[in-house]
Amino acid sequence: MRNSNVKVKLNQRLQESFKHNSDFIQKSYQIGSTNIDIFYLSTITDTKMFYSDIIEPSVSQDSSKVFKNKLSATEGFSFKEQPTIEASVQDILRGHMVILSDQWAGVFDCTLYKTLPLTETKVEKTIVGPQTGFSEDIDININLIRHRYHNNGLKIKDVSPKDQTTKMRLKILYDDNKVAPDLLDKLYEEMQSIQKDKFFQTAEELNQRIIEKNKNIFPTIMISERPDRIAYNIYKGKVVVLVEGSPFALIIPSTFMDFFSSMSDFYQPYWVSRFLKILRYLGLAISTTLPAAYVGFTSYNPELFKVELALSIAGSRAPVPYPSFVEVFLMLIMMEMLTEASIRLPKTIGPTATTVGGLILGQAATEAGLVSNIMIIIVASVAISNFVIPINQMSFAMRLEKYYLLLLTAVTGLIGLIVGLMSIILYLTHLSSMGNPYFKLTFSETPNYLKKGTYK
Amino acid sequence: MRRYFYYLILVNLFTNLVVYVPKILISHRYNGVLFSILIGTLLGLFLMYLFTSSMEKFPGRTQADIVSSHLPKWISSPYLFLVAILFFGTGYLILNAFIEVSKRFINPDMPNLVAAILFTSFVIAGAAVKSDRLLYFLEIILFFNLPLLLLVLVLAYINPFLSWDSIRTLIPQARFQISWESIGASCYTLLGFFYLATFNKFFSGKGSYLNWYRMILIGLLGLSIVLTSIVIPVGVAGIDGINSYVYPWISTTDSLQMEYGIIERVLFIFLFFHICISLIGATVSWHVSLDIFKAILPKIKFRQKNVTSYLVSFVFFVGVTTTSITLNIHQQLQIAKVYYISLIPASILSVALMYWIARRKRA
Repeated sequence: MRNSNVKVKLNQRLQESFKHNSDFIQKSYQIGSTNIDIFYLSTITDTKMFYSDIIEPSVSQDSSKVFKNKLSATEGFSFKEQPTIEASVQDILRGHMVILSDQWAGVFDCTLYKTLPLTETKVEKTIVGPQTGFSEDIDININLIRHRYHNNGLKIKDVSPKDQTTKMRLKILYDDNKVAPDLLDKLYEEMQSIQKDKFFQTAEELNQRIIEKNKNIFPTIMISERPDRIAYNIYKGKVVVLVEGSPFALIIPSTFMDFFSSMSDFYQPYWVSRFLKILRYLGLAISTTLPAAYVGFTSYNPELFKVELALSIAGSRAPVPYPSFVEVFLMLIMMEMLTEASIRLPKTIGPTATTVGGLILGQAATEAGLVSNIMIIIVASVAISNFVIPINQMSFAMRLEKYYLLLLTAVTGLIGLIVGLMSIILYLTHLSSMGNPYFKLTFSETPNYLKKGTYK
Repeated sequence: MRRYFYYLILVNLFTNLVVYVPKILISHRYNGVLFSILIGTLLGLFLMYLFTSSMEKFPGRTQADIVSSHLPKWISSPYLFLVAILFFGTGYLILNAFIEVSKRFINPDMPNLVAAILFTSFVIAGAAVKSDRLLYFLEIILFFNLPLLLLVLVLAYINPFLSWDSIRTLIPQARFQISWESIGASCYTLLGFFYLATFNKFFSGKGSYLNWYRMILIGLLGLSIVLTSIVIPVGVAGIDGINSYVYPWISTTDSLQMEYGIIERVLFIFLFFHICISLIGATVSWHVSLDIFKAILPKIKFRQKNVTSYLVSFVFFVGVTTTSITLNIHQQLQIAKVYYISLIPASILSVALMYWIARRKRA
């Protein structure tokens, strides 16, 4: 490249294209009489060898010829006769280093793959599809996202909440061409308003800080550990927040339905994924309403069922000395204990606890006449169907809901169950996620946060 | 957002199945009820056309806002107050009917007061939600309930014990005599468009709510629902026998049976529909009522917060809970009759006023 004018232009346009990216590095060296500019993204480029083997000897000898020779002898380097802005941007996004000198231009392929500390996804498992989740290093996480989203619309910004004690590094990721500016403004505002002297160190805690004011029951911001989910959501115009040292990222805004989607929906045939989705909502319905419905049927409206079924339930309940509400409550609490215990227990003892708790306790409780056989079936199906919900946060929230319904039903019968269900739906529609509606029957293809300027 | 307008119409159509409308219509079955239904439906359609086309002239504004900016305050405030009372009346009648039903058919052990507190708290909470969120809620509830209603209707019409002879005896009774009660009751089923008084603020885009084929569709739907509401009870219980039921629809659905379901009695499916539609219907009408009250009542401050809507809600709450334990079903029915009769002049007046304001704006 003879014309240094082109070089200046390219330089400017590269900087313009990567503005708001805290990991974009531009450096200038004066070696001999030549000016050399290098451009790369620090998170996905391995620069160690470049600095120690090429820049250092060239600078110490102050010879641009040494620099050029050393470079052209290195594996992965190639000269570019006519460097275009698009090609250069793509190179940088793939982790290559773009080098511009007064006389020539070149690209050095020194992509950094950080794979060593990556582990399998632990919370959001899928059968097919990518298996690695985020690590606890924020740069590695950005590396993972960048390798899934090769587009220079992706912006990575540093933010720091005001007066925050731990001075954690926070990064906001979004696609500049997709996101609504109002959403960003609102998010910055929220970040600024995070209270002084509040200690937080993980994405989960940051999530709690943001929604703390409303004291929500349901998660209105999704936490994910899957790079593919994050990339997909960035593509959908959402904003992602990464926190240093946390293997989870926040997705803002989220809707209720997001919590029932699994990334494996994309990797399965259409009807299979539809079927799985229906299964999840069915699981939700069973796990929240079944205990309350049992109380309503047995204690208030046994005439609702066919006579045979009503009789078999009543027969199974014959030896139980207390009202159905107490029976359900006792068994549910035992089940919750079991669930909590199996999270804490070391892997080696885990199966023992479930065997003792699930099989022996259940068997003994029915034989002793403390609970009915049907109750054991109900508790088991509640426990199983609760874990069908793919996002952990939501399945925990739904664990709570069944007690609310149970209480209402115990006091007012089946009407209480229906009023309770309706009130949960009402509450869900009332919720917002960063100002966007949280629960609707249908979300249009271009939701509000995608239409620029219509954000409320 | 346009589709939400139809949900408002639908929810009002369905609430007529669950309040006193079938009872009132059936009590006039020897008294030219079919003719009254026809007149009532046509009247409702005509009012719907006038009202929606007037509201379209004011995109994104509520009725309270429009009326108070076009009329002097000494007319507009009492007028809006009356409108708000009428909206309150809709929810009030639905809730009281429902409290009675729940006591009789679902849970006889529950005292009226507990039922009143449970339902009224839900409805007040729902009425306090933001208007757009309430529309989303309405959509979801309708989504779950429409299949149920369809199931009940299909089961009712294919029921082998439905006596078409009894239904046929209705026809000779359709002489050209009318009763205000039954006109009011059947007109009421189409008055869902009045909810635009508040919800018009979301329909800000261009385009109209209705065109002629949509109007015909809504008219046919309304007519068929109102006719169904008397045809099925008469067909199942007989034209004379139906008079002995206080709740014609509930008793009718209790005679239906589903052989292959877990739940054998169709009554419970209808009751589920009944609960949902009653609660959502009352919620929507009280939301509108509360919205108008908020616009006309002075702002009462308590610790820098405007508590007017809380006070109004409290009055609503006390109104329902006290009457639910003091009035019996026959007194409630009397209130309902007075309400439906007063609804005809009130809605004609209200629509005429809006039409006049809209014309003056154009001029």
